[in-house]
Amino acid sequence: MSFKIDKEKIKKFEEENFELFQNNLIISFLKNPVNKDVYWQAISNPTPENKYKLDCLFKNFYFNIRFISHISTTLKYNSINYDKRLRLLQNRFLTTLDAPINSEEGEESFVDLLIDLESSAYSTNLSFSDDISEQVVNPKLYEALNSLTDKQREIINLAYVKGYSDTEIALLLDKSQQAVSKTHKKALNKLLNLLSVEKEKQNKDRKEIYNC
Amino acid sequence: MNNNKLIFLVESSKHDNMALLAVLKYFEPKLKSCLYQTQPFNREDLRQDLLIKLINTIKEYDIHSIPGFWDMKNRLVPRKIN
Repeated sequence: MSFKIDKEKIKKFEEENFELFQNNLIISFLKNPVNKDVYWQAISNPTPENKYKLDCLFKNFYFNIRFISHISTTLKYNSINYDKRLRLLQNRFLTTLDAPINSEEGEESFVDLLIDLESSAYSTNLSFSDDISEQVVNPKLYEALNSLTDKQREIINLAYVKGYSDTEIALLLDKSQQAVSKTHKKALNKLLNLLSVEKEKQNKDRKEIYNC
Repeated sequence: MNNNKLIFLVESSKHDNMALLAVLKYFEPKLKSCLYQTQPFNREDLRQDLLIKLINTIKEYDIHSIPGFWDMKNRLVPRKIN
């Protein structure tokens, strides 16, 4: 299917309609070789069929540009609006703790007035116990501590709750420093072993769950 | 997906749900990039919101308002008085 391309006719058409060929849309449409070919044929051979073909191609081309940009802006602005709407709702229905307090000194909310359980000022005042197992939070460590012998636990207590050195502990218990160091080291190793066994078990359990 | 197919897909998506799905898939990357607009825990919510909007927009889009080549010519070139 090849038609002769009539260069005279094309030139005439382009001169008559020079406004059309200054339009950016038309320019970029004709940059495509397929489009250009159809355009040449439609001008050289202006049958209704050729004219319709050109019309369809152009519609297709223009549609892609228009529709895609339309959808892109729709999506963009809708996602921005979504955030705006969310913020509006959040400001309208504050949770009790976030609500501002009517105070003259700047902005404050209820959450600022809560006691921080983890702050050092709070914990040093209240938690005073000589036994290390009463200060442990981790249940695994607690279990491991309880499995130590009485002597081992006593040394651990003195070393980590009171902060004594091995030499001081030896004086206190009337033992040699070497003996205290040995027991201390043994106790720490025992704790380490118990905890790593526990960890291995956990890993194994996890693996089994994943494998299922 | 071929770009030339988009117009047919949009046209038929007014009554054909498979075509609608194909159009939605075509815009999926753009939609995903829009999700970064909001915090992670809101993304799934926003995604559904945008999908609803997208479906409505696609279904309501008027394809016949697109001018053809000769329409453009008539629009851009002032009428010549013979």
